[in-house]
Amino acid sequence: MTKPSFDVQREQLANGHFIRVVNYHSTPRGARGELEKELAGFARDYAPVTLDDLDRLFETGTWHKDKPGLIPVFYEGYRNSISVAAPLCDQYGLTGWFPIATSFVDCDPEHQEAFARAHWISLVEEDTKGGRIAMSWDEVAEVSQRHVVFPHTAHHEGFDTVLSDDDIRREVVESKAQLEAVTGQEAPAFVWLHGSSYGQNPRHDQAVKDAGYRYQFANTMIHRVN
Amino acid sequence: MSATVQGPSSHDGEPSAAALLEAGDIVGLMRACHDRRLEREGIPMVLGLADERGPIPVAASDAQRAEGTAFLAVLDQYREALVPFARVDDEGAVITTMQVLAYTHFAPGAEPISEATQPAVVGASASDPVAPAASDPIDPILTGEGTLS
Repeated sequence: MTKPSFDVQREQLANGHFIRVVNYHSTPRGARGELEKELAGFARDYAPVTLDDLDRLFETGTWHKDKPGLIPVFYEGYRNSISVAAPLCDQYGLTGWFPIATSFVDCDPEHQEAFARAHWISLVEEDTKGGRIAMSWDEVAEVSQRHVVFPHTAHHEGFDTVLSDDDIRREVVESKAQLEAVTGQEAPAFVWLHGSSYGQNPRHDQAVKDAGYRYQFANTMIHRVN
Repeated sequence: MSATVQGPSSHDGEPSAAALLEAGDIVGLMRACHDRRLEREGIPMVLGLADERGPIPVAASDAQRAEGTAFLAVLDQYREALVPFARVDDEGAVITTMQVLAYTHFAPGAEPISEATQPAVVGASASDPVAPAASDPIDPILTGEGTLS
């Protein structure tokens, strides 16, 4: 297990084993212009990273495109991920990676604001005007056709609050199965709330591995698990 | 458990990462990157790669390794400036230091690492260059004696 430390990070950098990531959360319509400017700048200077590209980087250790790779990550499964972020990624040729709290999507739109407030999902003002805040399952399927979609647990939980076997099954295993049933493809990665790394707890690590995830994203590194 | 973020705010008038770097204000860089508006701005990160199945081959690309070495030198400088108290396995300290590194050297308005010895672009905007092309040279100063001490 690779636990985060300055020594690990130094070794990874020295070996050229790193990649640029930009983490986004809500991407409100009211700030579309700002996001477009930011993504346009990234698209000009970096190359998109598909799942195949990431696989190849781990297999060879070497990035194979002319420009360095950059992964824009849009967390939670907000409705504006598909109405704002994904179209901009399409426009600028970026591959977006979308970790989705699957129970947020599953929640009746009438209760999604309460779900968000109960589960550390930040809201912007326009989210509180009524209506659906999360993507629909049809939208999840749609975005998965061009981008990478994977679970951010079911209920936006950290490993430290997922304690029982039932909890682990719900947050790690069933979230994957539900996403895969909707998209018809593998959910290749997993990320805990707070971006906790692999190696924090053997039981949780084993659950992620046994569920069949290829990658676990964390705040210090991307772990290849399977 | 979660807050509603009110209305837009702006970083207009705030110094860019490049300007803070030129001034040697590493604490200011940390404040600026932690003040990013999560609801509408990206958080740049440089993430390491760890294969739990076995070793990853060392990068065959000279440019890739050189860039990693340059990042490593910057990491050491920022670690010393920001978190000299931290244990080697203090995850929070690692994250904060890497965030400052990413914010300073590849966020919009940042100082691309290959151009670190050139005059800083004060007030750089998101449309400014945010990173070198892979073929750009790595600044030797950032691979050896730092400019930040």
